[in-house]
Amino acid sequence: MTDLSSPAPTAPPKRPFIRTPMALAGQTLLLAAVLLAVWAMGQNLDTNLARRSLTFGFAYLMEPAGFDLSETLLPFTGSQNVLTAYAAGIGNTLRVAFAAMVLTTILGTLLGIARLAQSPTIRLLASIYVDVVRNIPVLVHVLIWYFCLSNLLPLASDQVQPLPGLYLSKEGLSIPVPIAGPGWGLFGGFVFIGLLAAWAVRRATGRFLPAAALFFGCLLAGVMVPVLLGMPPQFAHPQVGKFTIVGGAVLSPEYMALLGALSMAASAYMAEIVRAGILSVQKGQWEAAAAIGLNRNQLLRFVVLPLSLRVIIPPYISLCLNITKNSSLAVAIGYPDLVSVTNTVMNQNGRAVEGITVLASVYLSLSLLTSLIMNAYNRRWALRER
Amino acid sequence: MYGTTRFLAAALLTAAATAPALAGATLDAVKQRGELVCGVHTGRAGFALADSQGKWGGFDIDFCRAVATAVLGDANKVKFLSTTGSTRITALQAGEIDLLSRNTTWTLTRDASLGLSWVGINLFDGQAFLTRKNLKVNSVKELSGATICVDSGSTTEKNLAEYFAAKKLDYKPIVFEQNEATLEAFRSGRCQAMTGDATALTIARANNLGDPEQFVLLPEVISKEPLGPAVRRGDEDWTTIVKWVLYAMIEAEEMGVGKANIDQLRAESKNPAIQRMVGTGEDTGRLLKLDKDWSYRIIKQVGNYGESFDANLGARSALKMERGLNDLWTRGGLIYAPPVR
Repeated sequence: MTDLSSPAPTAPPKRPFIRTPMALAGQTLLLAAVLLAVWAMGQNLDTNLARRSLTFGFAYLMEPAGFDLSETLLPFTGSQNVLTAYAAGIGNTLRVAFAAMVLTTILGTLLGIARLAQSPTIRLLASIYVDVVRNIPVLVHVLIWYFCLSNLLPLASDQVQPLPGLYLSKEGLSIPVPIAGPGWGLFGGFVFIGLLAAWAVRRATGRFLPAAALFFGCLLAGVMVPVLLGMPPQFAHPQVGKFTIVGGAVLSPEYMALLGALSMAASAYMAEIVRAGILSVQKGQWEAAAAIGLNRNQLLRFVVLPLSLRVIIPPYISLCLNITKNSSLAVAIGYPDLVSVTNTVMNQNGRAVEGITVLASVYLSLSLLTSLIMNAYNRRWALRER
Repeated sequence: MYGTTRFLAAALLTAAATAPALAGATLDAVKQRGELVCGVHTGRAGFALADSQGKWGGFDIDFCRAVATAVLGDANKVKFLSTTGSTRITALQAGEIDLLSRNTTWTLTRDASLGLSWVGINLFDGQAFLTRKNLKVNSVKELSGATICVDSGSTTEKNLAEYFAAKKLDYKPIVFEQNEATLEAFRSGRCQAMTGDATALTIARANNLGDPEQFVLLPEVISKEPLGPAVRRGDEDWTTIVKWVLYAMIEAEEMGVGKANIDQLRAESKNPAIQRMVGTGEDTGRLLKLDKDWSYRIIKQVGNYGESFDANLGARSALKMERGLNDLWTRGGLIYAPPVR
């Protein structure tokens, strides 16, 4: 019998930060050399800028932009300053990158599982899709999607209504957008109460069904009460205008094409990542799960996929960063993302060095933030060595 | 293109890493290289278009060849570098090209703050709008609420924004990096109108949009777009040479000296002004650090201004554009050259 009262093992001896004086000297020299190189490049840039009578400075950020953008999260006009234009560009980039990440995850996971399906037909189709899509450059995907959409979508005069209230035209998918008012305020209030009540019930009873029922009840009340009181929730409906559909919110063909292309291209990579993750789970786990009576869906959901996450997440982080960076292909199809806005600003006042600096810093920050968040999630699932 | 940002970064790194030799010595560099590097459009009929054999031809191309023949003796010693609207300025600033002959508008901002210098105006143009006939729009003022396709990297975006803001009209600009993408989006109906220089739109309507009859150029011209070749600021010798190549071409048309009669005039003419132009009179080339026959070669190998215009944009080309403002001042246009003497 093991002696459970034995003392804890002693910690290994602490290794010094720098091992020997030689190592210290070497590393100091290396660091000095790198810093010197960076300083020299900076000096060279300075000299050459001066020689070409160009200046470096960020004062231009406060000047009026002088150009408009076709779509932004918040309203933007040319009279606002360049910094606001950059912010609008960042908003657009995030909008498409985030949506693409979500779509990629869903589509990629399904494809990855399909590549390991029991039916050979499904496996074959999924393999063909993944191989074909992965070998086409992302820019080509973007251009194909965009020119298909812009040619196939109907003119505003013959717009198509897939569902009442929605319009599909060359302008994009126009959807009704809620207008703030008492009707929505009441609805929001009921939803909030419903959520609180459902959470409370769940805590109290530990059961899901009564909580869900309570939430839906509040939702229903939230719809009926404002209507009964005569203050129904208002929508801004899109209407056919002179040239295009006006009103409501619109998902432009540029946005849809970029989203579709990014998701399609990245989902092929995601499929392979998921497949690798699933294949990394030991066969013993599959057999044990089957032995305790789980069917294939339950097996995947409760045993295999959670274990495969530890292998999936690191390359998934890289894929998400790639999606964010590939969204810069928006310049090819006229979607006003950050690169497009930066290009316009650089062309109008020639500030190329400052523009590239801003561009590089923003993408760097976005990537660092994404990897920070994802790595935190990864630590939860990573294989811990004891 | 995706490559644009990479190209810009590479051009900037080149600028940063370049040994201090270029500024003030473009003429020497060109002579040493034996070739002129000229920045041109990626492909615009009439201005700069490569044919199926890869040979470039066009109004801007002719100017590059004129500079090459004046400096190097042979109009074919030119390398043409395609640049987009966004990369053309940086390419010139960074030293990738010696001369930018690419429909570039001369504005205060570009002249004063980008380290560039315009040598003159070789085409007077203006910004106009192209739209479809079936929209039944007769004026730009009726384009309120429309979606308009624009090329990135030019004065067009700013002019568009200012004009529509001043007239309090609503619009949506879709800005494309590549001219081809703009044309395709307009052709497919994504935008109701397209804006750009009037000559470029005329060319696009004739060549790139399928059936020209479906499209119409609206009458308003909303801005002045004086187009001219540009060089780097600070290199006075080079700027002077390029400037006088342009003026020589214009002066030659004014004097009636052309490709067809230049040899005869060289042999026979007793007029001192013509003798200077054809290389038998006073040596103006020496003052420009060129040789005596510089203007003779330009007219002989490339042609004078009128011949270049006619062959590429005017009567003898497929575009059949009127000279209009681009006619000589003696015939009511704005093309005028200081005397080449």
